Amino acid sequence: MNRVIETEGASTEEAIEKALKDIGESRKDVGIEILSENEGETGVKVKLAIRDRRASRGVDFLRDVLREMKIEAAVNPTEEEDHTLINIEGEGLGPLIGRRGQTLDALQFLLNTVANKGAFHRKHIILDVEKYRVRKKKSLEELARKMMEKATATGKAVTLRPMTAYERKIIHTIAHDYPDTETMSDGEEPYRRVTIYPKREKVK
Amino acid sequence: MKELLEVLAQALVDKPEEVNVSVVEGERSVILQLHVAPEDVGKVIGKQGRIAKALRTVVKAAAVKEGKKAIVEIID
Repeated sequence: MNRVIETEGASTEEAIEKALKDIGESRKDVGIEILSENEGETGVKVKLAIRDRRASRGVDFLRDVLREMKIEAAVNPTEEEDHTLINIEGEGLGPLIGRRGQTLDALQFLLNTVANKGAFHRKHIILDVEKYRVRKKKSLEELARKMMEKATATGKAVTLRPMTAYERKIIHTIAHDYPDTETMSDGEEPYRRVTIYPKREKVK
Repeated sequence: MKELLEVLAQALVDKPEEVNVSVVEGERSVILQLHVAPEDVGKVIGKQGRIAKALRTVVKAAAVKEGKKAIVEIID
């Protein structure tokens, strides 16, 4: 959510512009603090602290929500390659996850809406509670493998329960390890489900 | 729960000062009526009601903690 960047330009202003261009950010979405400026022969060397406004808006929002839900927990944001991950850690956080992660998904959706309000570039925020999503991903991957093997062994298509787009993507990804099967999603949200087809059966 | 819905709605709208929640308390359920500025109604409903649905899910989760059933109504 925060990063320090060193950059150079003919003027401080130009150096800042260049830094923003390099990281693909708009001035609207970040706060900039100049840590140091050194004038040299070729121009100005500038050290900048760049704060992601969207992520910090998201963190503030979450803290307010948790306070009103009377939940004491730590909110920890980390910057991942193409998204911000916010993990909530504490005790008695079950209600925050809800049945099959419903509450967590709802909160993540609201969080993204609020954080990206008026933003120039949208930034995706993934919300997790006590690494619930990591654990769930593992169990989904296990399920996927078992069902791929079942489809291959029996030669019959296997249809899974309705899943969210994120869950379905996990299943499709695992399918790459099983060249004898093909996966396809069918149905309308929120009842869209993945079916695993053994390749032979599909051809006929 | 009232405060929770206020915090959620205020973060979504353009005119947070016009967010107002009135509460109708029942024995086992609470009805929360959310009022926002007319131009902000879409911001708390969202495309295909996605925001309204998420608001309801989060408020319900908080209500369960208090052993109640919450109903969120958006007044326009």
